[in-house]
Amino acid sequence: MRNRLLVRHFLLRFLEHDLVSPDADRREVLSVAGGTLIAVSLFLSALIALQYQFNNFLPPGLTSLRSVDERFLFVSASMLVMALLAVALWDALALDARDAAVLGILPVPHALVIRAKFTAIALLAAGTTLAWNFFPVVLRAGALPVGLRIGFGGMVVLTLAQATVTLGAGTFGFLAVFALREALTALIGHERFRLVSPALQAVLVVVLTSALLLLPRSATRTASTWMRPHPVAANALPPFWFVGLHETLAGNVIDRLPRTKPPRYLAAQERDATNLYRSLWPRYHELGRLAVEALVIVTVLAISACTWNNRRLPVPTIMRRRRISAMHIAWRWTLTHFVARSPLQLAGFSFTLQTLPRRITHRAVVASAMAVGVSLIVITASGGNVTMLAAQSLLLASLLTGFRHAIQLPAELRASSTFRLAWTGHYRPYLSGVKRAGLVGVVLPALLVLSVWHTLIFGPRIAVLHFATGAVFSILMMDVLFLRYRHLPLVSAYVPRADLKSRGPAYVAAVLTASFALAWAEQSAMTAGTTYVVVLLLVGVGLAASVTALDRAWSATATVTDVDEEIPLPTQRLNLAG
Amino acid sequence: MLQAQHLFKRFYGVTVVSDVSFDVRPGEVVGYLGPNGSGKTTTAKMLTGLLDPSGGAVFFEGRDVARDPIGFRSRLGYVPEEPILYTFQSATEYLELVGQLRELPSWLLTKKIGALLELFGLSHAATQDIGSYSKGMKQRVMLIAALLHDPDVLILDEPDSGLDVTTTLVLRKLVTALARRGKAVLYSSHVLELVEKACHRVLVIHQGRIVADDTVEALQHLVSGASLEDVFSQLVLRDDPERTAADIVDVVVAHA
Repeated sequence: MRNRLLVRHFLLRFLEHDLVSPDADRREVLSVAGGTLIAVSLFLSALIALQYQFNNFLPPGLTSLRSVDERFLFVSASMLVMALLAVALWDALALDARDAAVLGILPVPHALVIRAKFTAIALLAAGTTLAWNFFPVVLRAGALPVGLRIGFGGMVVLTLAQATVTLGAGTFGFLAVFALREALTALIGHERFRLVSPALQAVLVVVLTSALLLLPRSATRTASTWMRPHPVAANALPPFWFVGLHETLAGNVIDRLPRTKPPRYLAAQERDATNLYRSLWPRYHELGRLAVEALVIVTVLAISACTWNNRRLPVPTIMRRRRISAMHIAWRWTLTHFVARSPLQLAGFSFTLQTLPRRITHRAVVASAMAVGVSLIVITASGGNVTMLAAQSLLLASLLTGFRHAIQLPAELRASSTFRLAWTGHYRPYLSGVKRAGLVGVVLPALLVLSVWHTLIFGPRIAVLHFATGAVFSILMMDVLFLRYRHLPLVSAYVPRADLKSRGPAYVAAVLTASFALAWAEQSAMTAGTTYVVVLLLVGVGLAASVTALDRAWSATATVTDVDEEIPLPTQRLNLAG
Repeated sequence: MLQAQHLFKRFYGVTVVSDVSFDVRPGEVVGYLGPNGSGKTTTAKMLTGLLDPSGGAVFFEGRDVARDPIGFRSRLGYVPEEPILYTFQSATEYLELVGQLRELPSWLLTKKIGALLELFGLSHAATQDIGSYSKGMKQRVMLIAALLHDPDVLILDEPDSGLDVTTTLVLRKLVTALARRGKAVLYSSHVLELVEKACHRVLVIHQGRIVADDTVEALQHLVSGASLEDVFSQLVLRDDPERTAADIVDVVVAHA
């Protein structure tokens, strides 16, 4: 009875998450999250099953190879979704000081609390992985050419194998992140872990989201691109382990089918496909064994590290003092003399740079924007010069869009009275400080990292010019994004835009057009000499100046932002439930 | 002079503050007493402009503060009942933010923050996250934030809650010293002894209405030879505390 109560308590606590608005209806959050998971996986499964309706007579060899690609897609998706869930929960995966304060004074055995927490985590992970993989498993039998006579038994084997590997991959993804968190805590201690935890979480968001976004592109011809020519890479990538396990469990269901004579245009492809697929049998067994071993290892590691870390209930720890070093003083001097000279500019600048890395909501938004940008870089990296030059603008546009969204979220809504009481009504310098923080804290690091890569590809001269172009593009885009913006960044309540669906595609099209037009102009400048470069920079600066002038003209006529302003919600709740 | 004139506040039809009028003159410390839920915090929030009154108005130097809330707040220092701060900031960062928003020059801000943190005994924790502070430490940060810009009016809503004995004593002297420098102070508190010693005048609010507004001495004359606590009991308490305590114990020890 007490165990059930505690499990329920911990399950509900997962919904008291910083990423979930405190005013949100828990049932609504659950419904939306669950519905989205199921809808996306259903769409993916139905789309793949539908493809076979146009390939009803695909022969067994080609079907086997295509099946490898599809298993890679489903396995990777399951693994990444579950890993992202663990990253999103992150701090909620461990008992915290609040749990200790509430439960520590009750006559409840410590072991019972730990067991209940484990059970709650397991239930959440199991529920999510089941929701995500339900349709891919159920529709597995439908994703086969009708012409193949697999039989009922074969279909059952394929469905069970699909269930085993996708659920196993999901469990592995979740446990790998959980084990990483707990093992690191055990190694370096709770206090040090709290210092590195935000950065680690942000890096994981970037890596996992980028991988998820790039998945559809990479899940083609996996056997011929990855498994045969790069055995070491396949060994290092966990999704291949579970693909190998699937082929070990059920690969022969299709492969053992009798080879009838395929249509002439497919004969050579079928022969090559069969040879390739069969040549990989030893690899499947090897990878399948790796999958089982890895799953056992992460499970043992997660449980043992978690048990070790929870030997006693956590106590509130005092964060280590931030040291004021000579570097800090130099940075401060530079800041107040060059970057944000007025007190309000400094307020906007400092508050933004304090909020973005320290608040999980803001960190998650910027990290997700970074992930989208990184995906775009990877996609464009294999293109020609224009595409590679456009990559920088695409990454910057993604980051700036993320930044614009992040600053719309209040840092802590309840503490906004600080601004209401101290606000002097001078909006422009504060906003200017916020924008400068975005340029210094978000854009500049990305540009610096890219410039290293560009130096290697294009040489130092082009890299410097490209860096300058990126800087001008960022300043211009920042001004465009904040044109007619009149809420207090990081303070005003967040109101979702009602016109996102209509304006979103137009915005994406505009960004793509601008990025590629700029890249084309840059490539022309590379071959046309310095005059062209000067003209290009002048056009950029002129555009930036125009936008700034437009913004100033608008601000002069617009009403001054009122911190007290109550923003009307786009929808109104009826609250009929009372 | 800060004046509240016929303030009313209703939440969903329930009147929380009803026809509250008083004034606080420069150099005066006015105590604001009342039991929990009597309307003290609601009044304080209406005075600061954090809450719009359902009726009535607040005047500062003869002008309606609703017409220039920013101008009024630039001369106001407010310590709320509950210290709600940005927990991911350190005390220094929070105070810098407040000072910068009030457009104080950087050199003055740095000087004041350093000195006040030292005087309020927070310099050892100045760079720690506020999230790890005790309630008393947060309250001290709020006090510093309210004083940074040298305000003319101070509204202190239970500023002593969570403070240790030493800081409470300092606070009592501080309030008196600020009044001597011409500041108008409204001091809401449950610590009757502190109000009795620090305040020139006392307002008692009960169920949203002002039931007494006079000097401490004049109120004490109401109940012969009594302390402020006796006066407060006389004005506000409807039940016998001893009887209530006995009833609570009866419930606590009952097992069947």
